[in-house]
Order: sequence, then C-alpha cells, then structure tokens
Amino acid sequence: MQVFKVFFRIIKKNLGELSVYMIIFLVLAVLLSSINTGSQYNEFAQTKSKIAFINNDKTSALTDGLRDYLNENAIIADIKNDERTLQDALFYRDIEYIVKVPSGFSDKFYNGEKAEIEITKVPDSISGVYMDNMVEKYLNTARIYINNMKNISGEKLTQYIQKDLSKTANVNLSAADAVQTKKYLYYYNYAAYSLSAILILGVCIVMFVFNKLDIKRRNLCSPLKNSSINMQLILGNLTLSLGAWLIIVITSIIIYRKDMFTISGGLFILNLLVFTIAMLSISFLISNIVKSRPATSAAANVVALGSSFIGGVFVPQYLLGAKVLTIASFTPTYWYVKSNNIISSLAVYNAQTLKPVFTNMLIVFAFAVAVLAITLVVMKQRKTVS
Amino acid sequence: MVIKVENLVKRYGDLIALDHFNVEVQEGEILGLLGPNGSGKTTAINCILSLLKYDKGSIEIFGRPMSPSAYDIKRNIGIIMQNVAVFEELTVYENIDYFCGLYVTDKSHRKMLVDEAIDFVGLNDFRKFYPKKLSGGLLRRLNIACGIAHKPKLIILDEPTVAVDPQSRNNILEGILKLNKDGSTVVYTSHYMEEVEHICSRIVIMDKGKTIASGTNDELKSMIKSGEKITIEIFNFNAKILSDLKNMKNIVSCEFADNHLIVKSMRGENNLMVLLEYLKSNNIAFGKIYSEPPTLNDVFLEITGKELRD
Amino acid sequence: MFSHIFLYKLKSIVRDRNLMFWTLMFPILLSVLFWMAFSNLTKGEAFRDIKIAVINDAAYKENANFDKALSYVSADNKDRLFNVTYTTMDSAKKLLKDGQIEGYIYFNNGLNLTVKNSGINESIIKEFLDYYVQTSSTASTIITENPSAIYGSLAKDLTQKVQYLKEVPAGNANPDTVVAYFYTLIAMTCLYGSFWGQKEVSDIQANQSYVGARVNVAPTHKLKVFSISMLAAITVQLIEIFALLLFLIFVLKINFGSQIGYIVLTCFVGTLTGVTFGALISAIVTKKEGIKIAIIIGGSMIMSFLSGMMYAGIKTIISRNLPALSYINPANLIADSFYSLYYYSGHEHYFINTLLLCAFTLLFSFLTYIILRRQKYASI
Repeated sequence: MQVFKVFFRIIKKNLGELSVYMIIFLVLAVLLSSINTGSQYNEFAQTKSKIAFINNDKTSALTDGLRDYLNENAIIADIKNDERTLQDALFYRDIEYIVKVPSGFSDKFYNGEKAEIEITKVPDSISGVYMDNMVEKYLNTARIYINNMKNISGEKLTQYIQKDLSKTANVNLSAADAVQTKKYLYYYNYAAYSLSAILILGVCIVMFVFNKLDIKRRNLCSPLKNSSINMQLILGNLTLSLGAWLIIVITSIIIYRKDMFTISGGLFILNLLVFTIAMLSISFLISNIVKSRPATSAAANVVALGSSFIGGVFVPQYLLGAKVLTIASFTPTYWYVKSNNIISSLAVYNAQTLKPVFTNMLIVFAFAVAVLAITLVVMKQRKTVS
Repeated sequence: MVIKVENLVKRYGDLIALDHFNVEVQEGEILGLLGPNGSGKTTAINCILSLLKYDKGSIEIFGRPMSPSAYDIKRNIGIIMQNVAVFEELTVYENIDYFCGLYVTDKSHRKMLVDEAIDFVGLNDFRKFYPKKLSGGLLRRLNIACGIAHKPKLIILDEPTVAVDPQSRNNILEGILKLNKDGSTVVYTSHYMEEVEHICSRIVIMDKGKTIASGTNDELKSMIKSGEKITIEIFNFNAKILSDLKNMKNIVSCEFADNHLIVKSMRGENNLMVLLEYLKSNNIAFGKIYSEPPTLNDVFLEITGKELRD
Repeated sequence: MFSHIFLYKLKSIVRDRNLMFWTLMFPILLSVLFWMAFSNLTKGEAFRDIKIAVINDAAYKENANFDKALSYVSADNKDRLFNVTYTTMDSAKKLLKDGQIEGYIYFNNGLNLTVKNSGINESIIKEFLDYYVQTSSTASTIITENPSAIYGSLAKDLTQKVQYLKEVPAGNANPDTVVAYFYTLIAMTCLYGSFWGQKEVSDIQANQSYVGARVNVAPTHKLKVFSISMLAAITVQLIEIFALLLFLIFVLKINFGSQIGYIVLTCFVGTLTGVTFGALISAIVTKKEGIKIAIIIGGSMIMSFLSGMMYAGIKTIISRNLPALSYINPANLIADSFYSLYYYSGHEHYFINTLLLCAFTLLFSFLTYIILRRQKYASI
C-alpha cells in the first residue's frame, strides 16, 4: 500500500489549500441555511416591512385611507421628509420602500385625470413587489368606487375599501401533504460548489505528482505491478472523495440533527454521493489535461464556480434562462441541483414521485461513466504520443 | 583589511549557530571558509552581509562598520548565494541587467558590464532564454553572472558548486580564479575540501560556529602531527605487528582493517623506509603500498575527531 | 533607477501567467458566467405557467364569474398564468400529493385554495384569488348602493387595472439588481490585486525568497525597490481592471450609468486597497506561497460573498444584523461605492465609502511598512 500512503501524504501536505475551500463552504452554507429557513417568498407568514409614507398633497380621505391601510400591513417608520434622510434610510435598509404622494394627487385622482404616486424601493426586493401590489390594489378599488358612486363621501370610501381589501380567499395548507422547503436544500446545493473545488484540486494535486515523468518512470520500473499502482491510486482517489462527502454529510447532521434522518435527508445524502462520483470522474479527466500546478487551482475554481453558477447552485434554476439551462444540462451539477429541488418539494415518496429523482441520479452517474471513458482515451493517447 | 569579523555570536533559540566567530580577509586573497554542513558558514556570510540579526560581535568591511544601509560598502560587494536567485519571468539578459541596475545607474556602462558578465560565464547563446529552460549548471552560471556583473571588489560565494556537474564546476572554479586575478577579493565557502585546497590562498576551518584553524593550505597541514598516511596491504596479520608499530617513534597512529594496515606517521623523510624495513625483518608478506600526504580532512579529523564529510 | 526597476517589474508581472490568469482572465470568465446566470433575472422570461386544479362541482358552477375570470388568465397564449385541470376533489388531492399541481381551488363557503407549499407559485395563485374576492366585494357593494352602476362603466372598471405607480429611483439611474452583481465582481477583481502585492513582498523579503536576499544586499534602499515594484503592480492591476470594465461595458453591455469618472476613481482606490492588502498578508504570513494564495483566494471569496456576489440579499441581512461588518469589508466598500454612485443623487455615500477604502489602504500600507522596515532578519 505504498502508493496509497504517499497519496495521503501529498494530500496532507496540501491540506491548507484544500481546507480553504471547505471553510468557505462551511461559512457560506451555515450562513445561508440560517438565512433561508424556509422559503424566501413566504407569503403566508409574511413579515411586515418597514416603509416611509410621505404625503405632499393636502390631507384627504383617500391619502389617509391609504396610509391607514398600509399601516396595517407594514410598519410606517417615523422619518423626516427630506430627500437626504430618505436616501440614507433606504441605503442602510432602515426602510425598504418609500411611498410619496405628490401634491395635487387627490384632486387629479377624483377628477379621473392621470395621477401617479411616486415610489422608491430597494431594487428587486420581494417586499417591494408586495408593497407595489398593496398600493395598486387600494387605488384601483378606490377608482372603481369613485367612478361608479358619484359623490361617495370620503368616510364611506375608505370604509368600503377597507372592507373589500380585508377579504381574502381561504388558504389551507394541506397538513398531510405540507412540505416545507427542506432547510438543508441550500446546504446541499451549495455543497456542489465546494465539493467540486475540493475534488478537482485534491485529485489534480496528487495525480500531478504521480504523472510527473520521472516518478512515473520510477514507478514503472519498480517491482510493483502497474495495475497495482493504478488500483492504489483509484483507491486513494475514492477515499479522498468519500472523505469529502462524509465531512459534508456529518456537518449537515450536526447542523440539522434529526431532520437529516428522514427519507428526504437520506435521498439528499444519496444524491450527493452520486454527484461525488461524477465529480471524481471529472477531476480525474482534468488531472490528465492540466499541465502545471498553478493551473490546477485555476481549473478547480473555474469549473466549480462555472458549473455552480449556471447549474443553479447560487441562482435558483427557475430564475435562469432557457438557454443557460440548456448549456447547464451538460454539467452534472445541473442534474444534481435539479434532483435536490425535486426531493425538497416531495411530500410522498412513491415510485411515481421518485422516478424523476432517480432518473436524474442515473444521468449524473452516466456522466461519471462517460467522462471516465473519455479520460481513459485521453490517457491512452498520451501514452502513445510520449 | 577587506573584512574583519570579531566575536560574532548568533543564536537560533537554544542553538548557537556562531560562537564567538572571528575572521579576517586580506585584500587580494581567496579565503576559503571550510566546514561540514551546519557548521555556520552560511550563517556567518548572512551576518556579514547584514541580512541576519546577530547577538554580539562586530563586522567591518573595507574598514567601515557594516549595516543594512551601508550602501557605499554594498556597492562593492558581489554575492553568489547557494540557491539560484533569479526571476522566472525575466530572460538571462534581463535578469543580469535588472540586478546590475541596482548597482550601476549609467545605462551604457551597464550594458557593457552585462555583456561582459554574459561572456564571462559563457551564456552568450542563451541570452534570451528564460531560467526555466536552462539546465542546472547553466542556471548556476546565470546566478554567478547576476552577482558579479557590477565588477565588485569583494565577491562572496556561498557554496556555488553544490549539485553542479563536474564540467560546470571546473568552469566556475576557473572563473573564480580569474576574477581574483583581475583584482577581486574572494570569500568562498564550501564543504568540498578539494575545491578549497585547489583555489584558496588561505583557509578558515569552521566547526560548530567556531574557527578551529586557519592559515594557508601548507600551514594547516603542518599544524597537525601526522605528515603522511601509509596504507599497506597485509594478508597474515597479527596483533604483535600493531603493538610493535605503535612503539616506533615516528608513528602517530596505526590501525588494521580489511587486510589493510593504515599508518600515520610524523613529518619526515624516511617514514616509509623505516616501515618497510620492519616488515622485511619480520618476514611479513605485503601487497600494495600507498603513501599519501595529509589532506584537510585529516586536519579536520585530528582537531575535531570527526570526518569533514558525513 | 526608477524606470529601470519599474519597467523590469512590469515585464516580470505581465509575464507571470498564473497570476495574470487570476487577476484578469478569471474575473472575465466569471463575468460571463454572471451574465449568463443573471441576464434573465430582470426580464422575467423564466416565468412558466402554474399548474392548478379546480374542483368542478355544483358549487363551482354557481360562480360563473369566477370561471370567466379564470379562463381569461388560463387561455393558451403567451400571457397565460395558469394551466387548469378541472376535476373532482379526490383526484385533485391525489394530484397535489404527487406534485402534479401546485394547488387546487374549490368553493365551499367562499373561495378556497389548498396548497402544500408556501412558495412563489402559491403566492401567485393566492394573489389572483384574493383579487377576485376583493373585486367581487367591491362590485356587490356598488350594486347594492347604486344599482344603476351596472348599466354604466362598472363592468369595464372591474376588469381594467390602472397603473398608479411611478418608480422614482433614489438617484440617477433605473434600479437594476443585476448591475449590483457586477459591482461585486469588480470589487473582487480589485481585491485580487492582492496577488501582486503578495508577489512583490515576497520578492523583497530575504526570508521569503532568494531574489529577496539579492535585493537586500544591493546598494539600493529596499523600500525604494519595493515602492517602485508596488507602483508597477498597481499599474498592471489598474490596466486589468479597466480591461474588465471595458469588457463589461462594451461586450456584455452592462450599464454603469453616466458617472464614469467616479467609477474610475473607485477602481483606482479599490485597486490600491487590494494590492496593499495582499502585501500585508504576504508580510505577515511568511509561509509558503500556496498558503498565501489560498488565503487570498479564500478571503476574497468570503468578502465578495458578504458583499452579495452570490446572493444579493446578504447585503440587507448584514446591514440589519451586523452593520459594522459592511464597513470593514473592503469588497463591500468597493461595491457600495458603485452602488451609491448609481443609486443616490448626492456623492456623500460615495465619498464615505471611498474614504474608508483609503483609510484601509493607509492602514495596510503602514502595517506592511512596519514589518518591511526591519532590514535584518532573525532567520532566513
């Protein structure tokens, strides 16, 4: 087991660099999972966002009503009506949304002229979308009343709108089927990034040493059988990969405890295992292509970040464009993340619901086999060339 | 006096690397600093160059105290380190020009100096090569060129021939002699005694951070008792021979191993004759006989009780 | 002397292919990835119709209005919101369980929605239903109070939605989150200037490199050589940053607004911060290069992450929970400088960030100086 031992001596020597990626991952994973407890778009348990309400118009039933309505659904911050102060507050996220009623708004609104409320928000925030919706709804309802009930009193108007807007459809969260997006979804999605980086780096560093011509020759001259050397290298690579996989799994168990000991937890772990094998295969290919030691870091970062970005690790897949997803489908990361997302949304586990999950795992496994085949061809060609 | 080092002490924690080390270098000489690995040669050089902090002692170069900011002194020193110190991204010419430029600001003068240095180390065919493309021996020559291009008055070489092939080694040694002939004072450290014997006009032997002996090659050898080492192949050996020999007045020591009798005798003319007569009169058959003058290794051995080489 | 060292340093920096990759090619590659991943964020093209079921029982058939509204948004055209299956309660339950639909709608004492998740799709369904319920309530109130309205414009008013909101940017340009991601990328690239700072320090320190020893015995002040080398490093890094900027603006067509002068200033200050940061790391960590590079890559990644490179929301979370962190994270300061330029009309925030960056640069430089000033080494 000489080769095997050397394998880990090399890994040990480069542990510093390898552990950097593990540390990045753990920091990211723990931070993100503590943030994303559940869904970002959780309407049914929506938290109230802080807003500013500025009325530059005369006080009217309409604007007061709007203010009261917003006050019920958001927290109106007591803030000075001053551009600088407002900008500051928005910059530091003290408030996330500013509603500004311009002077003359109510009159124009009553007269059916074009009237606009100025709003300013933190770009693309979810809370911004909800606030937009609220203001729009209030004003549209008011318009319907004013158009269809001439001379409606301000008091009645606000009263009616309040009554209408307080009505909602009943939502049942089907208890039996209730699925919370699994807390560890983000953890396992992010794991794809650092697992890729660590495996590519680790495998390349070691294989780079063994592929050095002098050492290769010396090994070939030794009484060890070539197949035995290769077996030990494969064993070493497998141990390294499974070790990285195990660290991620154990950390997830430490963070999420008994949540991991569920069917979906098991599926996540299995899915990561299949992905690990595919990444090992890819790392092996890269180790046969990359020529210098610094280039391995480059390859590790580019491949890991690249596949993670387009595969849906950092940006959810449903936000990615169709073209990007098509490109991404040539990476195992895409299929791995896709499986994770499906597992996360499953409430029942039967042949039908699990079929897409296992299909994706098979695809990832097929990647492993295909890339390994390519690697063997590359190795053979190299041998005949040199 | 080019270099004067007095009572230099350097500690690394509990380890004493230099223990009241003294050395003086005269103008125009090639001083060899000889000692086994770890004897403190490189530490001494680094202290002399003000690279290392030292705990005690004084160092003067060209009669003035040496310090990191003694630029007028540094201007006249050339250093060739044990390790190749060049930029991977610069070519042979660029490397020499860059380092020379730290000494010589005049552009046309510098160009001349760099060309001469390249000529001197014989790298003319490799001017545009990057260090990566050079073989070990050529790399060493580049390293030397970088150190001497500015024509320093004092050249310090720290083991410049470690792991160098014999051909490049000769080239380097010849070069050092030539530099010396052109007027440079040379300090040369090595643990190869043959090299030191070959080129140095004066030798300082170091061990455990101390000077244990110094002088010319001959002076050092005359310091020790044995003047000659005689090896005789004997097939029928008995202990009586050893005790007989030990009683002879010219013989310093003798021992027997592997059918070979090794006798170290004092300086004098007739050592070999006396020995042969003894063997003849006792009817002891013998095979080959060698006689060798003492080496620096013998000097080192006699003073420290251990071999110079490990 | 100056031009001699400067030019040779430029040469040796530009020829360092490994570091050129990290400081130039890597950011460009990453920007292409960003562009691919984020270009869709603001377009909303990714929206796909939501699968729902409706329980087609007697109670449902009584609500013809709802059916009309629903078929309006589920008609098979490009604005299609829902893909509706009309079915029985039992089969709807099964469909939901198997994940074939996102939720099902039924009438039982009002409008009901059953879902199993609470994600964005569920919110869209609920929003639609709420809107229907609320509008119905409005309609019935009006008809009760003013029955004649039914002959007027009521029907039209009910279905027509008027746009009352005008988004006013807090500053100069229209808000666009995607640009914020590219800000963090530029910030990261500035920090990658660390690589050069790292290189220059190790090339000058006798206890870190052999060439360092050579420089230390030369009759030129070490800090002079170092300062000129750092200038060369900064020059190269600046050129690289501007190459990246040009790539972003002209190839990826990212809109950075009009204040290009200030953007250049931030790039400049950010580069200084990055390069001096690397120098400091290199001066402190005298270990082998691999560790230093790993610290630089890892450190820059974490700092960039915290400034929102992988997930924009992290910025809000940090300013809410740990505001101090956003002031000591150089990546965040650089990104915020851009952000404030683009988002706010005044330049006050911009200058606060820029000054903080300057302060960091000075701090890093000072600490590096303290370490490098020592001209003799305890050991080599």
